[in-house]
Amino acid sequence: MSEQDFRDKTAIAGIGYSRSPAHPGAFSKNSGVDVLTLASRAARAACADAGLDPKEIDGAVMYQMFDDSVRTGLVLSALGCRNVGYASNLVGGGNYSSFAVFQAAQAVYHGICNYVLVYRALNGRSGVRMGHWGAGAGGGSSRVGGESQFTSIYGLAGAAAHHGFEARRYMDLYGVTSLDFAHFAVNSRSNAVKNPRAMMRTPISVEDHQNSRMICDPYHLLDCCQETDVACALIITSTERARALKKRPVLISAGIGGGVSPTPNIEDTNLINIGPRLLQAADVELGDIDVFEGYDAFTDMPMRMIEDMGWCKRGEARDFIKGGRISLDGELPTQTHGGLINEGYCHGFNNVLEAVQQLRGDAEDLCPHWQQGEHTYDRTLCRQVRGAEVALNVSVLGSSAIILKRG
Amino acid sequence: MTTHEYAYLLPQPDALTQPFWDAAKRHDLVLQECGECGKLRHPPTSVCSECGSESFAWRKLGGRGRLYSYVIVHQTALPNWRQSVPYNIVQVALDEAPEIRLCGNVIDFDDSKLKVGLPLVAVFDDVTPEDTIIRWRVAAVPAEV
Repeated sequence: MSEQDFRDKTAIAGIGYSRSPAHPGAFSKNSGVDVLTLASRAARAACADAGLDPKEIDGAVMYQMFDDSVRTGLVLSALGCRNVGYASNLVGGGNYSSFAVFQAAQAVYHGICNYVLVYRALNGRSGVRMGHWGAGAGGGSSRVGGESQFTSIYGLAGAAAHHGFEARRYMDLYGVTSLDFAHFAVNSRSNAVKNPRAMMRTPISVEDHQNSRMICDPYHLLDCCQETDVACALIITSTERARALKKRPVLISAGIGGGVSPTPNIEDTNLINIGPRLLQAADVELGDIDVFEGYDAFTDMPMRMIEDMGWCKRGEARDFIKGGRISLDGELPTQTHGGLINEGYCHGFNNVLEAVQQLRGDAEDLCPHWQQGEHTYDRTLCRQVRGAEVALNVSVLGSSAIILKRG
Repeated sequence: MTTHEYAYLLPQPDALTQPFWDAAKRHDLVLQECGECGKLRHPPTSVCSECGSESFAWRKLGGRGRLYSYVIVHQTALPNWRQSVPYNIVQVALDEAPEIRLCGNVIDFDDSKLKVGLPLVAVFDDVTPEDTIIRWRVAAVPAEV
């Protein structure tokens, strides 16, 4: 058994978002419903997209952090599934957005299941908030235990402060500036403008980024993703079965990474460890990758991934990302939906769904017939990358990654 | 200032971390040291990642380090810190164990002059009669940063 055997044998057959009449784009600040409802909507939408009866689902993989979601048993039950052969409830966040996909694919590859549902569902703004990560008891003269006794006591709470350390060290060591992050932010937003799902759709300039208020130096507001209520789901099956379903399959070529980033320094991403092996497992070269959707809770994260994959050297992403290279018609289109920062924060899972759409050629945009895969490539309306065949999706800090191919 | 009056969060030690905070109260910086291979570790854990040994001792360190990284918080979910923004939080790489990074705050320094690599020295801040937490002071400010 080898990575070569696994390569392209499983596929993503359908994708779904927790859309509703109140929130047609799915992503919102206040879903008004419980997390099970979000998960059910997304799962049923993914089945409809694939042309699959939800009762055919016989396995599920989910991830959650701070117990903010609904486990597989509840969701499978809500879908009326009676023949469950596999389930996994991962405890983690953005580190599992890519891993969840290849874990499900392995269950299919080994013949344990036929159709595995993978989802991330959360009321991340109206319910359990990531911004309060590490906030411990909250305030007052109270005490905190665990790791927080060494961190929160100094005022450390929330994702921006936790990850700001990485960004600051990267900036100080390599001469990268907030102005460089601004260029990344502007490119992402220019894609979000053409994404009806995106929460942030007003065009921005480099100056807007620089003038946006400071959240946690080095992060300005426009460097940060936002807490979101949403669910995203997809269906994984064998490539053979996927071909018999409604949509063009997206093949899972390779996946690697255990949801951790054991790197020597915090400015490193784990792609320095797994990047070369991932390419080898998928049998692709860096130049073959047409779309890059890296986990962008903050602007610097995908920039550091671009360097650690080898598109440029450490500290050079500041130049690499300029001049249109990461735009829709550039050498390496990134955050083609606006990323987590603009579309919304489904803990990275929406970046996987976006990669699927780009490879199918049916990216949801302002083109009149995008649903039929008819794109104008008029960049005021269209955010479909031309002829996208290979996509790289990376979870937070390179803790796991997948390569997907057009089927 | 009494514990009741201190506005910020305080450590809640457990069996593993109590010696660290007891030492801080004596104005010592100590770290767990593996009883077999001597590897230093932090935060405290029950096993050594190098050799798997469950025996350990506490070793006193010199309290000097370098600024590994820092952030300046302008918006926080911690209600009682809102009155203090903007404030810095730092990670310090210890001179005697550079792979170990301690979290803290740099005091008595202009935040706009913070720079990765600045030499720091531990300050034992007796924030309540029961609690001493470790903060940091810039050891020697270079002529021009």
